[in-house]
Amino acid sequence: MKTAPAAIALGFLAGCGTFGVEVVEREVKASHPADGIARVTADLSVEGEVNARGGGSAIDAAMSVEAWIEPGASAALLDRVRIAMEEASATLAVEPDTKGAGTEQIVLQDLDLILASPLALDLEVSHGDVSVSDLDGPVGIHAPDSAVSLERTGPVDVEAREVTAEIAGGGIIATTGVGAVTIDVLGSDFDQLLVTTETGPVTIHLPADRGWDIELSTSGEATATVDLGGLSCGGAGGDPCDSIRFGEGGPLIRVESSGGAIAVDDLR
Amino acid sequence: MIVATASSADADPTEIRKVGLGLRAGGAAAPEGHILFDWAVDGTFRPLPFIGFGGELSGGRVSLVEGDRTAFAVAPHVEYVHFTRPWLELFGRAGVPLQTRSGGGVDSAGGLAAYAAGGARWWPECHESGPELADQIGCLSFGVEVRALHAVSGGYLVMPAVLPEGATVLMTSFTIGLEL
Repeated sequence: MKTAPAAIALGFLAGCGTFGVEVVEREVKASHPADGIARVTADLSVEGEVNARGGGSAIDAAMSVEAWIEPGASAALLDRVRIAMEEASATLAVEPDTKGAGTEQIVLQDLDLILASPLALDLEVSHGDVSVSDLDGPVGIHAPDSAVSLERTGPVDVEAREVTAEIAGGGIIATTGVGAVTIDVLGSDFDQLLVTTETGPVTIHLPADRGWDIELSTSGEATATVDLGGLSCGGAGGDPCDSIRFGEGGPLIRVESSGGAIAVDDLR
Repeated sequence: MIVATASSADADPTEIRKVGLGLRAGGAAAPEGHILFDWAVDGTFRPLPFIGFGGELSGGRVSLVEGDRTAFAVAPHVEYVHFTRPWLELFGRAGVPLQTRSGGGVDSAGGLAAYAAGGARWWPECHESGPELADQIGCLSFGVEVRALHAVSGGYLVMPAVLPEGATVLMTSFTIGLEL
């Protein structure tokens, strides 16, 4: 019986491989002038990531797709894949498309968008992570099952599984379940930043050299602490910190949580 | 009578534990650095010594060009088990998954696969229970399994891809079971 563990270990190590299939990768690109466009939208599902960034002079999209086919079979089915760009009322809809000849053998892996910076962006992502950076325009993301990363964007309206952000434009951020929200607030040129979580933690880092109005609303098991520019409240034995004016006051930072730990402290 | 039953069960807990409920999760390497992932819940009834019959339920999804495609599968199976120690069960299982897939801008489709699996389960609780074994509600088991799944017809979705007919996945899974 001494051979039994060895046989099990060998089987475990051997049990990892896929045969009789070949993966062929391709990148598909499309471009559209930014003239007359105010908003870009996309509604899709990816296995990897949707990545959007500003700094472009037009609207450029690149999509990576993979065909899972029998070894030696033609990968011509990848020729069907294109990125459709449909313009209507100053809105450009970016849509992965197979020219009406859909196949379940082609997997959409990633989508990269490079936009002219002032454009607004609206993303509906049912699967895959999302990253948006260096985009001055407003950013709307509805991706309840995704991790979303934001860096240097305009005002945001985001619903996601979890959010990490470095933003200066305020807006609305909501997560579901245990999803965490971590925000570095880089500026104060906005009216309000509203954050809502269920049981996920919220951490907001604020520049302490400016004024803020802070409202922290907790229910259930949620807790709230503030340690900002020498001001502290919440925590064990501390004063409750549900409504605070910091300095001369300023943009409203409002956080609502029904079970998470809320922490507001200095941006370092 | 109870003592006799417990003594027998000490050698083979499945003489008392006739129903197994399990959760399985595993994966396999695939071309171009991909990892395939598969999971299932299953139940097995053991009406005969060493032999069990049951089924697995599993689901999956993949991102196609025009959206999410989801899959649901039912897989009847037959299982052979053998205890080399009172706490170590070796098993072999064969099953035939039937899968239905929909969404993603593609017509609904079905797939047929077949698999053979082998592995071991560790029963950390039942073998030391003595006469009380018969009165226990259930025991946990923890296992590892190696499975060869072959896509026979119509393709077969193993996340994150629909494998073409003729493809074979050799995957390793871990299992946790409740033996009733």
